[in-house]
Amino acid sequence: MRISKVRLSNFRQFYGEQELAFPDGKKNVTLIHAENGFGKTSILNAVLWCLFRQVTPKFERPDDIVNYDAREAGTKTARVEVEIEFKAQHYLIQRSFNADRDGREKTQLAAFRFDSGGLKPLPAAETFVGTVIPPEMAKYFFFDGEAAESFAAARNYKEIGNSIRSILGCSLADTATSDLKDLCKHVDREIGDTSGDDRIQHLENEIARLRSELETAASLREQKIGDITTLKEQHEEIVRSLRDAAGAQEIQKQRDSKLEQKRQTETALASARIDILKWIGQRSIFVVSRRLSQVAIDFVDEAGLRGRIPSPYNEDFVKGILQAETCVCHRPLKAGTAEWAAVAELLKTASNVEVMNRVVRARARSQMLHADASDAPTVLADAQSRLAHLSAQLAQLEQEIEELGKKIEGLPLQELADRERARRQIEGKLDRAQQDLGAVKAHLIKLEQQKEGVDKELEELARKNKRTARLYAKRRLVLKAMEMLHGLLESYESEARRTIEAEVNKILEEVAHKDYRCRFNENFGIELILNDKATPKSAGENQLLSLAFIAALVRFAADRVDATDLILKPGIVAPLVLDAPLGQLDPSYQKSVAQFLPKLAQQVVLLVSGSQGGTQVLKALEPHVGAEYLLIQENKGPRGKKQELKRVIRGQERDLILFGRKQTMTHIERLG
Amino acid sequence: MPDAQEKRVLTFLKELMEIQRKYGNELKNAKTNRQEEVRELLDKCVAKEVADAD
Repeated sequence: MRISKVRLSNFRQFYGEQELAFPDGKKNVTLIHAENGFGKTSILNAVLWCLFRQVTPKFERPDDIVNYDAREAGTKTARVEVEIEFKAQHYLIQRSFNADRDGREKTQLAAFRFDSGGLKPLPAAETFVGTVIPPEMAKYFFFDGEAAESFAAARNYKEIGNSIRSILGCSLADTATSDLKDLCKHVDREIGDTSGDDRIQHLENEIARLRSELETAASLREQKIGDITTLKEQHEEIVRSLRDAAGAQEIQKQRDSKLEQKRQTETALASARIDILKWIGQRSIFVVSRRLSQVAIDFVDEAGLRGRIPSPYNEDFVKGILQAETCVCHRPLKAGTAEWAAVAELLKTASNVEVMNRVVRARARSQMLHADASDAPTVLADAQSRLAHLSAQLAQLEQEIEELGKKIEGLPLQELADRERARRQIEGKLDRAQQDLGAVKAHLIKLEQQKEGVDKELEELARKNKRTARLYAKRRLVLKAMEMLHGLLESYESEARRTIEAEVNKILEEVAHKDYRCRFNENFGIELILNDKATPKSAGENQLLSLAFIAALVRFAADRVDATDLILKPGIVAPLVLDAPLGQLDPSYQKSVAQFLPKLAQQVVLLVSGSQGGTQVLKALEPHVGAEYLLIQENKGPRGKKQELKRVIRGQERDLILFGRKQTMTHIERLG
Repeated sequence: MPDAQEKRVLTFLKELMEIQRKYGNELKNAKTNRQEEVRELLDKCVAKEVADAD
């Protein structure tokens, strides 16, 4: 989708009818110059309001739509029209506001298609707009200054996660999940009403209780994860301030180094513990068998010495006596007699070559076990000694870190001492929050196991009754579908995460001055990585990362425009509108980002103030600018003592505020 | 999940998503109509499952 025109009619500070036309062609950037308060955010919000009746959080008094001067002159209506090009057709979308419509809907949306015969109204305007840009995706194409500055901030991790899901087109799957949940509850109620079996009734109640507990525990887990992220950020902010504070700088540097050593020791400790666990799994069997194998060898040797193992009777010897029918004492041994049977009985335990081989093999096996076990205690002793050494090292480091903290707290500068105390408190809270999270996770696992048990019993009972069996079949199908949907969503999301992360890194490689990389943490927070370590972000770095992330989202949406996944909406191509995108960047970054901005989307609209649109920035953008506008503030009253406000744009000095005009309003002027 | 069961779940999911797409951009009465259709779909799928089992 491409915006070709925006017409404002008595909308906010724009008196009368004013128009912005957007370029079509290779020069894809529209540049709108305006100082603060002149209407940059209003232009962005005019488009958002027209399409979705949405506005950005910074847009104050969102219901105050009609221009003041127009209202004084008796006008009660305002209107925004957006002309778009979508799939090779031209459309007009129009939202109007009528203050006279007391008690009725004040805004109305209409959509038309440009036909050879004129404008043809579309029957369902809202549905049409939703097809062009799904509302949940729209907000990631329209950014006001603050949002573009802090989108990648750590505290914004939820929004980052949401943005990836929205751009991925998960809303259909989300509604499907919600429908399946409702359906499951409905089936549960039916089961409860129709079973007539007390045990089923009881188990159904149990399932309902467990489900509700699971939901509570899951939302508690999310809350704890959020708390931990916030506390980590607060902690990092204090540490950053201590790193910068003259009095504490040196001590904080030492603490940073000790903390790094502590982190390494903890990693080594974890690996030593794993070694011991591995040893238990692989070698402990030899230690147990050492004693047993020794006993076995001794027994075999002793019995062998006494001629008991193998048996003292040889099989051939006994067979010879039976065949000869004569005993060793030369007495006759007639077949079928009791004496003959007693001698034949000896064959069962008589020794032969096979039995002999077995005894030899058993002894050799015992001896092997005995030999393998002999070095096992040494391996364990080594691992234990390493564990003890690392534990002592960790305790020592913890003590040293504690002392460094006390040193900062003891500094004569009250402010630094206060900061350190606050840091310590946050650290304590963080520890408690981590423990709580662990407990919640364990509780969740326990609840899942309980629920699984109850589910199984219910299934068994339900099979006995045809009516309930059908209801359980329904529930089973719903639950399996939910499981499949969840699995598919998870795999799509993690794939999207990887793609977007790779795209952000590609952009950083092109734009950043340092060898920065980006990484998503487990909560979808974006970390800035320098030399393989997560590094705290300055306001400028946050803005740089935010812009890279926005660009990656826009590209991801464009790449998915023809996607036909089972559970996802396809992506979209839409203009990217950025208000004050360079606010926190220093001049050198402003220039390199300005060179990059035109590549962000097929159509880019930039709203910049004098502090952002300096000569370097304008020069970098110039080859891509297809249309340029200046917002001029006009006032009815005289200048009085007010200072002039001028700005040089493309070599021409312009008055930005005019006095003694017919209306107080913002005037849109096309440049060039 | 055995193959036959997985196939049944997948068929159900496909038809469920068709319904979601149909009502995806609808605003008026979308939820009620959509949920009604989803309920009918579930009845249909389970009836087929039972018939196949018999």
